[in-house]
Amino acid sequence: MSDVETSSASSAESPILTLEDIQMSYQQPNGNRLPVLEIEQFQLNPSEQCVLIGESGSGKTTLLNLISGIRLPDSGVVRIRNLDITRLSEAGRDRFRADHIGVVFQTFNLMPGFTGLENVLLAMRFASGRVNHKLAEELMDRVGMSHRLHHVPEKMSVGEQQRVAVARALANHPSLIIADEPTANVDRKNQQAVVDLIRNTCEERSIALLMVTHAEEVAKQFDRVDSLETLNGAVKV
Amino acid sequence: MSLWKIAWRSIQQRGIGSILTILSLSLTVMLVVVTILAYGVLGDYFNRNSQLGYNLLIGAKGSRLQLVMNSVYHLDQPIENVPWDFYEKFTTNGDWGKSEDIQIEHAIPLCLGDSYEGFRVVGTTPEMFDDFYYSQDHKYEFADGRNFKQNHFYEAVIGSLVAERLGFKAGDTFEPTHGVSGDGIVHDSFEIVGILKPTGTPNDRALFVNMEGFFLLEGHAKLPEDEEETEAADEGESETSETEEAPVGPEGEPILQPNGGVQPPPLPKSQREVTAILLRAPLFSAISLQHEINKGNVAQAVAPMRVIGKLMEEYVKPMRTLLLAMAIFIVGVSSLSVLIGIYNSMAQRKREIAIMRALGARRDLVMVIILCESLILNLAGGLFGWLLGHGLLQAMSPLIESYTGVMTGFFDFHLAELLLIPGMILLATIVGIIPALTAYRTDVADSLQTR
Repeated sequence: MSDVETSSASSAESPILTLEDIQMSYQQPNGNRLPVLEIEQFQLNPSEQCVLIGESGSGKTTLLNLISGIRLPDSGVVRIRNLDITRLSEAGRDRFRADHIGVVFQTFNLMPGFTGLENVLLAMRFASGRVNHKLAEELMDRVGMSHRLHHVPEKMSVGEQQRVAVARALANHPSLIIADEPTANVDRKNQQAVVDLIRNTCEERSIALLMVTHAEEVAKQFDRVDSLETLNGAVKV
Repeated sequence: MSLWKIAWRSIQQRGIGSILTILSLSLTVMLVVVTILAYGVLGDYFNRNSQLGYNLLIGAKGSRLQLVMNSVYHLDQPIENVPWDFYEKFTTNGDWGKSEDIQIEHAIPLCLGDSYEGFRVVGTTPEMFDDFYYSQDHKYEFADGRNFKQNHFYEAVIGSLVAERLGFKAGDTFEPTHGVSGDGIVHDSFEIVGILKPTGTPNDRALFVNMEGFFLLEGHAKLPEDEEETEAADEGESETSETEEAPVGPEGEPILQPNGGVQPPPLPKSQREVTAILLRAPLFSAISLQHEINKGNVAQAVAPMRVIGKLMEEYVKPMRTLLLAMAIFIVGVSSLSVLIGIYNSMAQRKREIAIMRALGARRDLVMVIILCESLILNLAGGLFGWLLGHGLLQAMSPLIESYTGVMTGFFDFHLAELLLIPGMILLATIVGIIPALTAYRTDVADSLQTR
């Protein structure tokens, strides 16, 4: 049986994301372990939009790596769509990430050398579904980039690059989008446009959104704001 | 989007680096292709001429190899001659020619030692082109003109390559130079009456003159060594002059030389020598003759194909092996540089790899993409190198032909070149595997954080 298989018992009420008793630490040069994450409980419901705020070093990126399956906790459960992804193999987590999670990075992380459209197609290529040109073009159109389909990232403004990154995150119909400070590298003029784009597209498609930011003006737009300083027991306030 | 396209985009992304890698590979493949083709040309050159129109080569005692190199390939320093009366033994009225135990189909004399513009001049009889064969059983054909006539001493027939290189046509004349170095005395001129069609043999690179004219050139008559011989020669000459006069035309008119002078009488037989005799005979007769000749102390008879076989074994094969070893060494060195090139680019590509992994690409998929890249680079380099190699062969074709007589062209293909395809794939895998493993081991979280 595939370890990527999700539970058929998932219901509309079940949280899309659940973190339970997460313990994570890094090995230090002196051999001691440095705790970076201690999260007792965290949940995100389907279609819910939540912002996590926290200062540098509060474990924001580590937490997102954990949720996306890039890193594994020392202990605890990371359940997405009722599946504990910590029990999956690395290849299983890769496939699960491609199929169910959209990621928007702070630095966009578009593939250089690939056009905007190809960046979206690339995300489709790594998932289980088929590469769908029409859908990719529709997504590019949705983020207002239909006029820049065949431009490479180097020829785009930072705002445009982030729009393509959003389209790419939506490529595989994810249940959850995690956005790691998506406005940090965007100029003030484009900040609100990027936030609106991410929030609106998630809302339209009933995708849960977990956004990490340290920008208060972004955070205050969300109904649910969680602080990593409060959530993460490993952070010494 | 296929993995090939992803790999191709990545190659495009590193434009200059990719071009330099492809260029480096192309030059390697070009060298390998040229080496393989040189290997082929070398083999062709000796193999093609191992199928001769005769089975016995007779010449002065000495080096068998030098006799073959001189008479078959028109190479090497000239060799000693054998007396005319020895040659006559093979003619219809000679000892062996009329023997019932020995059958001789053809015995063609060759007189060597002169040259013209770097090409060897060979004195022979018209029978060479009327009745004799090249490459086992091919008859000589004329592209222009006709064969020279027995009675027209100063007529010549030239090989196709000589005609092409020197721009000669039937009716032109040339003056051979004594010796093969090109700085000897200049002889009387000969009229070219025929141009041979290409044969693919060293004869394409030779000028064939009527042996009677060759004998009459300055320095070609055998000088008597002592008085006794002088007397005998004198007797012979007086005898000859009585029986052999200058040939005349159909109506008794004198035959003129190309320089306008009247053709002299033929050289007395006592002053004649030949350098080699090409003999075509049934196998049993050839074996008997070879044994008989080699028993005596006048000449040696060799089976040229055996000498050529030995030449192949002792000289050509080691040379070809050396060429092949060089090609392998070149590939090795170049592969290492390509490996270093791709490996170094991996440091700059960690982030790209991390992005692909973050998008859900499995480790093995990323590894396959890197291998695809290596394969594309290698195949592109291979193809470009192949074109360059064959282009170079085409460009060098006239030079190769003039040195070896082997005609080459862009589309000449050696079977060993087929090895290039699996070779390049193997090479791509070898040089791609280390970078691919590096990609496989890339830590996604760490690589995404570095910028």
